[in-house]
This record gives sequence, structure tokens and C-alpha cells, in this order.
Amino acid sequence: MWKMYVVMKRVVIGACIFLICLASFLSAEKTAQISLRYSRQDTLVRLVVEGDDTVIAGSTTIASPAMLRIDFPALFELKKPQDFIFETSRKDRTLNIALTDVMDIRVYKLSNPSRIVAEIKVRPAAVAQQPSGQGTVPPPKPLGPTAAAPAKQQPAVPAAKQPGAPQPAPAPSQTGAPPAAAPPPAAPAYRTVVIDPGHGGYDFGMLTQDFKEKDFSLSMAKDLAAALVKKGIKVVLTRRADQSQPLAERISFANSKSPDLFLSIHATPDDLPSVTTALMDDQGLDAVIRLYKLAVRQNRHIDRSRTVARSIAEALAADTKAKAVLRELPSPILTSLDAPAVLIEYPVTAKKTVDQKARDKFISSVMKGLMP
Amino acid sequence: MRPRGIWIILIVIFFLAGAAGSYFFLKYYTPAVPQPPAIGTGEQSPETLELITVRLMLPKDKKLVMTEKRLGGRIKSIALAEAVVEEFFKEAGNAYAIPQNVKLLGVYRDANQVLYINLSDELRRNFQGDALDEYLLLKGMYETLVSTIPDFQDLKVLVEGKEIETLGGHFFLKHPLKSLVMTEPKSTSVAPHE
Repeated sequence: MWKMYVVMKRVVIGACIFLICLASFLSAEKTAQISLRYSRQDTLVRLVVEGDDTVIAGSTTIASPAMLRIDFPALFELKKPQDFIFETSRKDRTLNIALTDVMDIRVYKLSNPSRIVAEIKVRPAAVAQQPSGQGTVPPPKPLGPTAAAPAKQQPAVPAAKQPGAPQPAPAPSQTGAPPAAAPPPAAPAYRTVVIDPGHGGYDFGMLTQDFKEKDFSLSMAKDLAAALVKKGIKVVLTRRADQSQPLAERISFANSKSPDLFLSIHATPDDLPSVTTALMDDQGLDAVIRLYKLAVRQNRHIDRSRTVARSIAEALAADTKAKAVLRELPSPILTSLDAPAVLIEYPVTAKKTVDQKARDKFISSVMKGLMP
Repeated sequence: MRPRGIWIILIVIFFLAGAAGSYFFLKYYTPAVPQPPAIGTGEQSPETLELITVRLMLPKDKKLVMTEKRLGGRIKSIALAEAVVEEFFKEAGNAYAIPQNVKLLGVYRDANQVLYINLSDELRRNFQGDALDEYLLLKGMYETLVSTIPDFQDLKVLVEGKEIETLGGHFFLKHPLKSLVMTEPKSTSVAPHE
């Protein structure tokens, strides 16, 4: 009996030790890998916090102009670029990013890959005279006076920038001042043109494995802007980087510039290019529904818009030896514009290539349509 | 002494078993997510007594194409709206410009007889069209529901229970759709020789 008691005692003690070891092993929390990177364009700083699906999905964010706080569901290891512009601190499962000179901040949680994106508008004075750079690479080297850096950011069409292809002229600055070397033509048809690259940020537009409409439209807009600047026209882009911008903001920004022409650049999955103007048909609407309509500022300019659209469509049809489509749609980006406004959609079907040559041809046709 | 030692060991074992049990319970137990209340406003809606022929206005080849489906059952108008929306998105693919894998999360109606349809995020993420495709999708949804259920005033689309600014980057989705989709889009071709 005594012997049995001793054996049982040993077994129990051994089991206790095993259980304690097992519990301590299982309770050891796994650490998640979190990477932090950023990009900067003018007064916009874009922070991207990337990690596992479960970690990002389970995280909570609190954003204010002074602080961005992210609480993760697990302990984490943080990887961030050496030249990260904001001060970070971490405590247990919390990452704090101290923000300075911030005017506005928006935080989005996105998937594929799982990430938290913070778009931060900083005060102009806070932005040093540095070109934009990606946070995951070493600090950008100083560039020349031209804004060549944004053009390098565009991965829209990998094959687009071929070695032999003609390089577009530098994109215009936000103020739209033409380069000093460019001789202004005698009498430009337009003094100021606002170009709106469609989509951006979390709004990808049309998306395939190697095509993002948001990048493509930005690249096309920059190429078109460069062509217009060469003609001595002041050009303003509604966005110059991969940033989300609500339609209402684009409209108010464009109207604030009092342009002579507004061009919105998009893509279409069809075979034919299309040029769209506003559809100004309010008949049949009662007074309550009219309240929902943002504005019909386009009324004053619709004839001019249609003329420009037809001219562009005819130039595209003539150059491509194929039909172009003229459309009228009640899109707010057109109906709310207090200027002649046209939305151009570039055909990007699988059959159609979007290489630099085809795009240059398209830009050339649009230019012919604008300045016949 | 021996019995006392056994008791101490047993207490330790119980304590450790309890601690281990609590640990695993807290780690793996996920409480049941409370289900949202049943679709509807709580008010008695008019009932449909017979088989109903539903006219789906589907965006195809840059225009709306009407397809008829028969939905059976003794169903209330709000449930009919739910069935119609589900039928509409079942037509995704097949050359229709309708996003795939869109799930209906709910159909509601407010006091002003505005019908809210709450759809999954696939509506936005899987939309792969241009401005006209987006317009026809919204117009198609509106006209399908209007032609089936005449007793509501307007239609509003929510994504994951929230208002979103736009579906595909061309039109506002924050407002009810009626004012947007009342117009017919115009389209003409310009030939090379012109």
C-alpha cells in the first residue's frame, strides 16, 4: 500500500510538472510581423501598416491630427524604414504614431493584402523641399527642378516605359506653370485645363493582374498634362499621386480653379474609346428629388462640352481608323462642373495593348481634338 | 500525514486543471454572433397571394435587357424585394455587367417608403466596368425593383451596412437613386470618315 502511494505520488508530481510546462508553452503568445511604410506627395503623406489578415482585421485604430494609435490583437514586431518621418512608440499591443503639422487624417482598413492605410494631409510648411519618396527605400536623392519623381512612381503598365519609347515631358506642377524653356504659342485655346485622373487610393477602378485603372489614368493624365503644358496651357491635376479623393472634393477643387476645360481620364473594358459629356435632363423630377441633385452648373457650358467631345471623338476615330463613342451620362463629375467638361475613356481590352506607343497615339489624338 | 499529502496534491491538480481549462476555453471559445433582426420594418406589409412574374432589368452590352423570372410563394413585399435582388445578382457573369459574388445582407424600408438594400462589399470590389456600366447597374437595380414593387418611393444602396460615396468612381451612391437613374443615357458612334 505504501509502495503504491509513493508511486502514485511520483506520477502525480510528474503530471503536475508536465502540465505546468505545457501551459506555459501554450500560453506563450506569438508575435505578429507588422511593417510600416510611407509615401509622400506634396502635402499628402500616406502611411501603410501591413500585417497578417487576423492581426489587421482584429486591430482598432484611433486617429486624430496629433496621434494615430493602432491596437493590435497580439504582440507584434515592427519593421519601419529608417527615414520614417513620424515618431513611433509601442507598448504591448499598441502602436502610437505621433503626428505633427497634420491638417487632416483618414484611415482605411483594406484587404488583399491586409493593411491599414492612413492618408494624412500635412501643412505645406511642414513638407520639406524634398521630392516624394517611398518609405521602404533609402531616402530619395535630390532631383532637379523638374517633377520627375512622381512619374517614376507609376507602375500602371509595366511594359509602358520601353527604353526606346519617347519619354513624356515633365509633369506640370500643381500651380501649372509651364517650364521656362517652353515657348508659349501665340494664342492658346485654353488658358487653364483641369485634368482629373479617375479613381485612386483604395478605389482601384478596373483591376486585373497587371492593370490598375487608378495608376493607368494617372499616368495618362500626366502625359496629357505634359502635352498641354508644351502648348503653353496651364494644367492642374486633381491628384498627382495614388491617393483616394472623393468625387465631391474633385468637383470643388476643379471648380475652384475656374478652368476653361475639365478632362476626366478613365478606362473602359470596351474595344472603342468613348467620350462622355453631361446628360442634363431634369424633366420628370419632382421638387423633392431635385434636392438630391448636387448642382447643374454644367448647364451653361453643355454646348461647349459637346463640341469639344465631338472634336475629340472625331480625332480619335480618324487616327485609330475605328469608331469612337460619344455618350451623355448624368455623372456628377460632369454635371457639377462649372466649365466645359468631358470624360474620356481609354479602351483597355485584353486585345488592346496599353503600351507607350498606343498611349502616345491616343494623347496625340486627344490633343488634335482639343486644338484642331 | 499521508492523507494530508494526497489532499494537497489533489488540490494542486484541480487548480492546474481549472487553470488549463479556463485558458483553453478563453482561447478557443467564440461567442455566438447575435443575428440581426428579421428583415422588415415590423409593420404589416401588403401580401402577394399568387406567383409573381419578376422583370429583371439587367445591364448587358451597354443597355438594359429585360429578363422575366417567376417567383412563387405567399410573400410580403419586403421579402419579395429580397428575392428580386437575389435573383438580380444571380445573373452575374453570363456577359452581364453585374459584379460577381454579391451577397444580399438585408432589405429595409423606412418611414418615407425608401427601400434600402444592404449588399456585401463584393458589389464595389468586383465591379469591373466603365461609367456607363456603373450607371446601367444602378439603373437596372432601381428599375427591377420599381417594376416589381410599386409601393416604395426611392431606392438606396448600402454596402456592408454603410453609405459609400460611389460604387465605381463615376456616380454618387450616397443619395437615393431615383434622381440619378430617371434619365436615359445617350450614345452615338463617330465613324472614322466623319
